[in-house]
Amino acid sequence: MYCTQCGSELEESSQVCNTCGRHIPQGSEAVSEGTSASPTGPRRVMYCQECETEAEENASYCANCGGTVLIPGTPHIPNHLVWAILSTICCCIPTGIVSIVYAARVNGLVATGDFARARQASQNAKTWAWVSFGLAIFGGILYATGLAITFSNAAPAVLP
Amino acid sequence: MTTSDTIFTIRGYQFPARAGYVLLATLGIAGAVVLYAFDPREPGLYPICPFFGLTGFHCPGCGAARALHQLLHGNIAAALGYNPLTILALPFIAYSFGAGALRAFRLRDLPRVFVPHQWIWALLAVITAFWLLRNVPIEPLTALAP
Repeated sequence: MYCTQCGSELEESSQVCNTCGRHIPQGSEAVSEGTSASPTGPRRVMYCQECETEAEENASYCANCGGTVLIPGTPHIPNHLVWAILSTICCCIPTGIVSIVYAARVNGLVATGDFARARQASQNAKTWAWVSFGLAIFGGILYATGLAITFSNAAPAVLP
Repeated sequence: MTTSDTIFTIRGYQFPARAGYVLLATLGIAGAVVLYAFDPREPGLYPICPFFGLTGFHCPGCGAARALHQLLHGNIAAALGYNPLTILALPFIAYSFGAGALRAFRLRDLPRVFVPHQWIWALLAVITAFWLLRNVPIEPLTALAP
């Protein structure tokens, strides 16, 4: 059986997880299989605590950075969904929609364990959200300039 | 320094996440003050939605400023009437920023919610449907327009 908090393998009779210290109630819901509880949840692997790169099976150190602390779980790959939604709602620009598409792809790829492509999708989600905000700020500057010109032209007419 | 403490890196300069959250909070409070004080129904101050200005059709975000103005004045029903999606997205946005800020300042590690990708596709479908339906000038659907 495996710890519900950190996913470490446990002795069948253990009451406390040796890795994270979580108390394991007897006959509890402690996960009996190491894989993710649902097919849509994030896939659990061993990954490096330092650089969040997934490690080879049975590796004792990280092939990417040489870190020796490998922990079970899922590397955090941000999907930037909040920025995607904000850029769609606030910026009125279809590029926000593209960002939502990439956000969905990030979580789909994390669920299948394809972390390399999930990171690429994460970068794309971020880029498209920035593009939306960039266009919105550009439009805002144009609007403010137009407003200023209108006011400076209108002022003499109002105040003779 | 772990990667989550940095928002982006340009030529070796790491922009710290904490500064980002302080900046965001400042902008958010300033925006809320402006939205509370000035009603977006009065013309002049706020820019018109560029999509609406160019095409004459409402975008999924049209009415968001009016909805937030009503929400800040406690009129939740009126807020939902202007843009229900924006109001319903607020708790999600607030949790995400709140948890991120608490994590950046090492105050608390709230759980990161993993949204199954099917839900995000469903959200995309809802936004697209909302975008289309609020532009249909037929009686029950006109309620979706701001």
